[in-house]
Amino acid sequence: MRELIVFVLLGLGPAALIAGLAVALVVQYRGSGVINLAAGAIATFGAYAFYSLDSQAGWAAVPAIAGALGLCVVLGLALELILFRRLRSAPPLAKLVASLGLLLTLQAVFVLAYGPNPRAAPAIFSQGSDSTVQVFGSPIPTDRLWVAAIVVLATVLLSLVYRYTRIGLSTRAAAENEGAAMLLGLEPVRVSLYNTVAATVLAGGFGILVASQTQLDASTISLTIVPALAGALLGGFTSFAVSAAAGMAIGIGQTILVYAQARSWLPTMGGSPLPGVAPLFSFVVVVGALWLRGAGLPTRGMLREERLPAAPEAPAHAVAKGIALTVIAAVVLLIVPAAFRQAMMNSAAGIVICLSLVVIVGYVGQISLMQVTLAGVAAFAVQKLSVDAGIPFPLSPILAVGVAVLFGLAAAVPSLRLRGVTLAIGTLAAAVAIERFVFNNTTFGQDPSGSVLPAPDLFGLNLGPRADFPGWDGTLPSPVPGLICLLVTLGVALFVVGLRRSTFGQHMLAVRSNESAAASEGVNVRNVKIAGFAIAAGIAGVGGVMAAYSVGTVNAADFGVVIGLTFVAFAYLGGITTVSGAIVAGTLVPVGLTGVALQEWTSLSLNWLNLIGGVMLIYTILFYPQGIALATTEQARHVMARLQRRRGEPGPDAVVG
Amino acid sequence: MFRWRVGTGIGVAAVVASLTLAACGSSDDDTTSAAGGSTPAATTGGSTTTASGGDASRDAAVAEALKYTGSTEGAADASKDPIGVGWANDDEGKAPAPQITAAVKAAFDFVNKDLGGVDGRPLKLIADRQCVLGAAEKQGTSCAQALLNNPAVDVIMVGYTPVGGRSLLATVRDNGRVPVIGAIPLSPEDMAAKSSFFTSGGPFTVATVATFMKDVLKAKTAAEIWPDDPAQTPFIEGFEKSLESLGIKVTSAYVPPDATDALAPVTAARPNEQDVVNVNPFTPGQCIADAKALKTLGVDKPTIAVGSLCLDPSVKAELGDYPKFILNFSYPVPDIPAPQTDAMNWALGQYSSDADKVAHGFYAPQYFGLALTLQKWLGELGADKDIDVKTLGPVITSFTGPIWGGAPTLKFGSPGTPAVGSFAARFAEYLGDGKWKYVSGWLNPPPPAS
Repeated sequence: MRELIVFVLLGLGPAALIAGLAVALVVQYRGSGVINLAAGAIATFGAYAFYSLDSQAGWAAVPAIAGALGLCVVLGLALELILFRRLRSAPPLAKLVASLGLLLTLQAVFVLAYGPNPRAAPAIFSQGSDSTVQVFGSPIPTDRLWVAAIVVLATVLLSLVYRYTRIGLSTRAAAENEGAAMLLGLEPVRVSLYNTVAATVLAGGFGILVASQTQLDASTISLTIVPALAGALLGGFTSFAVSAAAGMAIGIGQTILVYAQARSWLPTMGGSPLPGVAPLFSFVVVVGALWLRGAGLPTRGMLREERLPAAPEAPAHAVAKGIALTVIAAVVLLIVPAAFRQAMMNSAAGIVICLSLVVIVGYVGQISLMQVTLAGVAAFAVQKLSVDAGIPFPLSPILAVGVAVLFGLAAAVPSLRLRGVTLAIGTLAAAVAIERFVFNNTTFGQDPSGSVLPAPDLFGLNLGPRADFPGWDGTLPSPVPGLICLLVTLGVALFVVGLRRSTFGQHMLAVRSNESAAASEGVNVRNVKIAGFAIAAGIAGVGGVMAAYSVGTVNAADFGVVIGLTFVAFAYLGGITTVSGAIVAGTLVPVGLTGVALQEWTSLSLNWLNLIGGVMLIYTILFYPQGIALATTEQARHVMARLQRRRGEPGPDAVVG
Repeated sequence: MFRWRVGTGIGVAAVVASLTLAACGSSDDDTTSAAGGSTPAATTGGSTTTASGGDASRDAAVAEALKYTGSTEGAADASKDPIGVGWANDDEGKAPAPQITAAVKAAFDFVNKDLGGVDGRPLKLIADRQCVLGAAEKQGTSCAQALLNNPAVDVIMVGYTPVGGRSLLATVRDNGRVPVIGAIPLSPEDMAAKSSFFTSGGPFTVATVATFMKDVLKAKTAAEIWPDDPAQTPFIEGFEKSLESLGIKVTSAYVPPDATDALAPVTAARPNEQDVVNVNPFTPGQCIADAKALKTLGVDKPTIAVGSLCLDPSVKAELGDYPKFILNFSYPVPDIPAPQTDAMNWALGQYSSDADKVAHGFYAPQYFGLALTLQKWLGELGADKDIDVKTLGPVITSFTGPIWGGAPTLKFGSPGTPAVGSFAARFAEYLGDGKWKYVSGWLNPPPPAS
């Protein structure tokens, strides 16, 4: 028991950071309706600003803190005016993707400005062995206690401010009902500005406080966002006190798990502790909270909130066009250099995974952030089934897709009670838990040796990277697996086109549009959701199997949460409601066609490309919210209309009009 | 206007791919070295000019290197076909090691400008753009294919590749044609591969560390601090087996990969109650976190840091000085004078732009030595011979050492780990202010059971 108390106290440092970020998330959400995935990165921004002013510019501590907080104010103003204000009426997924773009941008800026290695953040409080208190014989650094106290104090102050001051009451009114608030003379836009600045300063301030206890680098504090989201979720993105307490509890709980891992009574795996216990703990907390809350986050009473972009039916002759496109791609595959053959396979797998997002997000309207994780489930399953169980091709990939469907069905259960961003957070927590607890488990996930997957073999015919092909010059990979990938991609794409056109597809769109209305029309909402998750998981599973065979090894890192979020961003960028959007997105995925082309033809470093990519992601969200594919189609239609008008013919616009 | 927007949209699509791109920093066929071809470095690192106008430091460095490689002084013949060495390394990403690439480039320049190449044939480093690793694991497959596809690649040299390395090695390690050489195997399969040759056990040098604990430090109990990363499972298993076999009782604790603070896990290992503390960082940042936690807890027990990550300049910058740990080395400590070390420092000063950073960057001296050892192997094979696994392989496996600056003896073909020549290491303690001292000779216990 004494040791337990010691570890509770030791956990106060990381717990304070989680709690502080959870509070900042609540402030941001209450003011602007944005769940800001970049809150941790903003904390890192504050820490780097303080480091620059104190350690690099030589300022004294107090002016440096004031200066760093001032920079946070500037950042908050910029974020509100450039980003969040423009997204006030955007769909929740657009806001989420925009905040992801912000996270990626800030991380790239940090690496460019300060390098990938950690920096020595100046300490606000004295550190070292002489700045500890002894608790049951163990030294507890006093700086952790101070930081925890400051977080508690900030939480109390915020609660009082939002309860008793005009700005606090205005925020609550605007969050409840924006229209009514405006009638009362309040200005929701101004309220949003104040809250965004406050959230930025809070996050930056907590970053300044904790940076000296941890590593000041681009990612360590930034990625604390997942447990912080869990804390904010438990507080319903409304209560500062509950969010802070939950954040503290999660942080302390994770520290106690670290303690338990060092004790012999905790189960081990090959002498090592079970991996991913801490994120699994966070996931259980999130799912428990979501299940108990059920109704999801309090809906902000926006005057107008846009829905997801339209999901138009595939154009006429879609099948013929798809086949023609595949033939063209096959020809390209045969003539491009070998590096691009591998890139095309990576892109084909990416297209299929993005198609799963089209089904579950674009058609059914359920924001799932775990489709790449489901692809990973299938990838590991096919490797284990092939190598460990000796199940031959093609039975092993079929069974592996079945395993992904089972996971997808499990994910569907919470969707019966949750929707929108709440479901997104639940699936994000699930993705983290599966990545750490399943993929990183050497028994049923990542083999430390690299999880090699033998090339597929059908009736003695090698279909892998060394498969014979007429005219092949022997450079790896052979065109054969690429051609198979193209055929599978075509098949899945045509299936999704058919799904959109089917009666069941109409039911999906009805559920996306309005669940109550769909139910009143006789649509079984529950079944549609469950089937939607299963179909999307199956498609993601196909993508995962393709990815596994195209690379020849299965690696947890290829199916990690950050990669998964990036896929969602790409899918949204391409157009998350259309097959053509998925094709655009597939070319953008990691080590895909566009990536390899840029790598081959430009000399920009990875860090500059990351920065440009993050900025462009935000730009696209702001100016092409419907996605590149639909935007391009619309622009092409306008061009055609203008040309036809010039010729005196009635254009499509005239017909529509 | 709308045309611009369409174009912009397409441009956006292209640029956004950068989110996941691998590095684009080095040029295709980034050739360092063909004789007379590349730019020498800015510094000449402590050279002294003799009365006759010669450079004593250079002369000493060249003489020392020639004594080892058995080659002839002078520049390689630029008109001869170069020997292509394909190169893969994590030059970018979260724990980049560009200093290793710099060290290899400097070594190749040294070979081509001062050591006569391989019987006059220059060594050419082929750094394909696909092989600038560190961004995504999938890059390793593309890199492996690019290297195997390139007919100019005679030998593949693999550097420090925590991201991309598993895919890379899984594709090349048994290719049967192009020899793969390196110093850091990542898995038991790498250590048993048929086309691969590793001069050291890298992170698998665990039995050596255990032997040092037992025989030199006389430890009976140990606190083990590991990153909570399943990829390390083989090392952890091997290490704990070795310690148990030597009768050392272990208390292990694990630092979560996303931990903001290592204090709790380090406390959980009860370091103050053990005879020795052992930290196993896999990034410089983990070393910093471990060192800060040990300092906070006032731990004064001997602390061994496995691997060279604690030697990275970023650790010194963060902590003010390197932590006073004991490190295991399979290569020379750059701050302890020795003939080969001095020669390496001269060559790095001559042929790299930031010699101090390169020399102290983790694993860089080891790869400098590997490059010179490769020159020796190729020289023994003969410059006119075809270079493949069947020809160069026997030269390597019959080589009994020493490695330049490293293990005194080598023996390939051990059961279970035939692709590893040595698990030997010696230990040096950091005393502060740039001073080191060796606290053991070369230890070389039997390799870990597979």
